[in-house]
Amino acid sequence: MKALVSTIFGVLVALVIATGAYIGLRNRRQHLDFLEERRALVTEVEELEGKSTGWNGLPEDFSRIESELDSMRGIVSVIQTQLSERLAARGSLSRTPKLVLGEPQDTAGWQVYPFSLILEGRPEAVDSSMRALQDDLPFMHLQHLDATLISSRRLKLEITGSVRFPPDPQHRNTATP
Amino acid sequence: MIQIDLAVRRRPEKLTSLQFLLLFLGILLGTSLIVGIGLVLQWNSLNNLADEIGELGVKRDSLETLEAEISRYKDLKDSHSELMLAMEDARKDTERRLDILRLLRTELEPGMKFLSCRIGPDSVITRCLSPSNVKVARYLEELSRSGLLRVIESEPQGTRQGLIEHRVLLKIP
Repeated sequence: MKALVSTIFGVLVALVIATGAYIGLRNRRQHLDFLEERRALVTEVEELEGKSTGWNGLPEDFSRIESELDSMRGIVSVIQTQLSERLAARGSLSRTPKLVLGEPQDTAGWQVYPFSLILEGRPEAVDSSMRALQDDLPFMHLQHLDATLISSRRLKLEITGSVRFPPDPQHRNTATP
Repeated sequence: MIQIDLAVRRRPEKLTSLQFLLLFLGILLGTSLIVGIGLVLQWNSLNNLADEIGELGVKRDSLETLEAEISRYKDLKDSHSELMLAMEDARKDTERRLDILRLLRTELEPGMKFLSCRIGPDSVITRCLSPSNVKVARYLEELSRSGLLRVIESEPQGTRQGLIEHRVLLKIP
């Protein structure tokens, strides 16, 4: 009888110890995983805190920059649709305006429209027309300016260049071509 | 002398079955208690760690939101600066070339005539007529003095309308 009792209880005690050891080891593993996770989180949080040190909310100029970019996007969009008209308008300075507008090319996200335009008129008029053209097309880049004096008061200016349109300012991550 | 041992020899007392049962029950309960307490302590520690991880996760999420905000602001600012710079560069380039064109015409010495010019990104080729080489030299000196151009070479190209035609190569510094 006693042998039976001691055997049964011995087995029960062994089972309790084995179960406890099993659960304890499992908990220990989970504990180690948690420690690892906490260490990684602490590192991540420290890095993020380092990056955001001194940041006290969005600066005051944020709204201004955002609205300027929005406005610029609108202007660029309008210019892009009216490009040939704007170039031709300056070309009307000539008796025979000559505009050649190439197909747009994609360069590092920018839309580049090559063009050549001939302006002809009094040197002062050509000069002011060119400056106005630059104001109209703020991303106009000149390649060559070929000027020829066709009479004592008339200058013929052949402009070769491109008009560049930036990628959408809100969704851009490319460099200037 | 005769010695008599009066002590009664007793057989050692044996545990009764009930006592035996209780003893083992006690051992079982004690072991279970110790194991249980150990596990409870472990779980408590695990719960604390889990809570701490949860708090750190919330803090990380909040900081990530902040970082995204910072990143957005920087991107916008960079885009803005880049576009402004591109516009400014384009405007300055056009103005510089127009200034050069004006200079090529206005700095001509009396008697000289401007014929044509080609203004590239970093060099200028101009053709002019001059009554003498001395005037061309003065003209080139004036151009250099402006700071907008540096004279590389000047070659006479024959005569036209009774004047010497010069082809001048200039560099835009």
